[in-house]
Amino acid sequence: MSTRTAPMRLNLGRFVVYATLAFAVCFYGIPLLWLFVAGTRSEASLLSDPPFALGTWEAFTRTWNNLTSYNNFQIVSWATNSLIYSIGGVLLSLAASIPGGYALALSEFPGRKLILLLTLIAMITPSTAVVLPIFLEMNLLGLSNTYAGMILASGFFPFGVYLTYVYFSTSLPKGVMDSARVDGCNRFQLFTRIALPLARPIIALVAFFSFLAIWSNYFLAFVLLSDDKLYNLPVGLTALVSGSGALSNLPSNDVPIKKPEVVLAAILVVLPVLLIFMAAQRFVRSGMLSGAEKG
Amino acid sequence: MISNTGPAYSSPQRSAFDRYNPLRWIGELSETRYWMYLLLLPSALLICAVVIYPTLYGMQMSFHEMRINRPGLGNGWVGLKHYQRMVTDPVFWVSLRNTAVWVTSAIALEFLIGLVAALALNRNLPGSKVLAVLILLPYFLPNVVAGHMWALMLDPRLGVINDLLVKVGLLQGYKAWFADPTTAMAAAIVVEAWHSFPFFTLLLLAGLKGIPTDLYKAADIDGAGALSQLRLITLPMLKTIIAAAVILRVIGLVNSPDLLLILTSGGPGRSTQVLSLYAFQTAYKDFNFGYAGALSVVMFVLLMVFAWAYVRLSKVNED
Repeated sequence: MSTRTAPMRLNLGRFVVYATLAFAVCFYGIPLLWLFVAGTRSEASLLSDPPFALGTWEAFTRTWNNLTSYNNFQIVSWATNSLIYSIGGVLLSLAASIPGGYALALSEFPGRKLILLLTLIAMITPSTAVVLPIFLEMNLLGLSNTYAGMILASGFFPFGVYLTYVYFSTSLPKGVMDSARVDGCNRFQLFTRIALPLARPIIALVAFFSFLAIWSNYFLAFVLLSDDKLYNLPVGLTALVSGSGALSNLPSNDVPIKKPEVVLAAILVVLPVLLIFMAAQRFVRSGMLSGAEKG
Repeated sequence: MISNTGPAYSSPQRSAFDRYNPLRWIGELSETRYWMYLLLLPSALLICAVVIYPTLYGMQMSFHEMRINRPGLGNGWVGLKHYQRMVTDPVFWVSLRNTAVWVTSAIALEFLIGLVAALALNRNLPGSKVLAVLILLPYFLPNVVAGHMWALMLDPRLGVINDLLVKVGLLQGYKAWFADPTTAMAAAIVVEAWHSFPFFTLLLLAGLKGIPTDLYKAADIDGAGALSQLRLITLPMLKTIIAAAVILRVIGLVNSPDLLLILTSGGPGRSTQVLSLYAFQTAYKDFNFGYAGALSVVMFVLLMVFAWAYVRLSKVNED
């Protein structure tokens, strides 16, 4: 990017800009900071100490033990479920998006326009409109409350088809493909030996986005899964909150799940997202920007 | 030669293994005109399974009696019964109004904050690259986490936010934001704006990078101030991207009841009841799938109007 700065005016302008950015960072950062600090504190400290007081190691380990051992280590199996759904869903969405986007980018064929339009419509189809029928469909197929059903329902990521299509339509080396063709590659080999290795960045990007979408998926999982052994982490977190009454401020009961445990569970849900985001932020930002400019 | 197997169609003698080797079989198939469709097969199957079939099934549902808890009523065709009920259903109208309030105010707020942040980041001052990443980060926070985090922060006893507001002097005492029908929606809107404004920042920043600097130079020479530059150059140049961002966000918001489900479940009373929540509750609390289906169809139609606008806009972009 060439250094295209907007014309610099008064220093006052500069000050306003920094003030704005500082405000944005506080607006955003302070709640997150609070979340991470609150995870180390006891219930009593949360209620009486100043909002950003740091907790103790002892309080943290006690909260951690309360949370993990609750209901026979339920949260561990929820985390495992989340991982299974996410990995299965990512694989499924890759298996659909990469060849699909490749086919759409490769050539004209009857029905191509229609499929592109359908992909676009699928991208914006209201999930609430389809969630009830999907629930009934899964019942019909005998897939309700199964890993397969949840993976199937969450594994379609039309945005991935679109991203791959945009990527391949600009980056397929026609020359290399033609000469490979002359050398006797069949079209399947063109796909596996030329297109796929080239597609590494877009595979990573699609995997990243669909992982995040599936990992954070609340509504679909909430509707499809009624067996609490199969909950993913977001649904589990909500069940934890409503089951223990931790946020209701009613007279306390003997469930060991209180506000600190809820905070810690929330951190557990968000931690993988943050780590993956930090690791991937560079290519994600450029990928999203190019996607934005295209569409 | 890239492959040592050579072209699949040019080897007359094949061993038994070759004949049943799936790779060779796919290779041969790839030379036919079915190859494109084979590549599209996985996504087509998935589209059918999780988009097309459910959409059609939902529409069909909306014309039938379908009450899971009262099987005695059967699954008969009831025509437009559910749609007629909707017209006279006060809850539907309240939900529709709440949806409109929820979507327009949240998006207006997101757009404003997003635009200001994008304009600030676009100055390319030292540190703005790092800030751009930091600002983007919480957008990836799962809804559930954002919801519970804010539920805790707005909690009347923990009072992180209450504490702050009392200290600043804006508030007399701690307030239960989500328990009061007059503030529940406003609080939820702030939470939603907090969560999603980076979406606008990101898209608008991309748009700002594409505006030629000459325009601003010319405006400077003509003596146009910062505000009139914003009004006469920046906003008109960003028109398409703003429209696209708004439409995508509208669809996202109308679709996902997650945040409201966690923060308020539509309450207190019906003060935060939106259409998607109402459809969900009709199905899973009243077990009236037919009526829930009709509500979903209405949402679907409303959103398809936006979808149509979006497709139109991306066509305009290509020209």
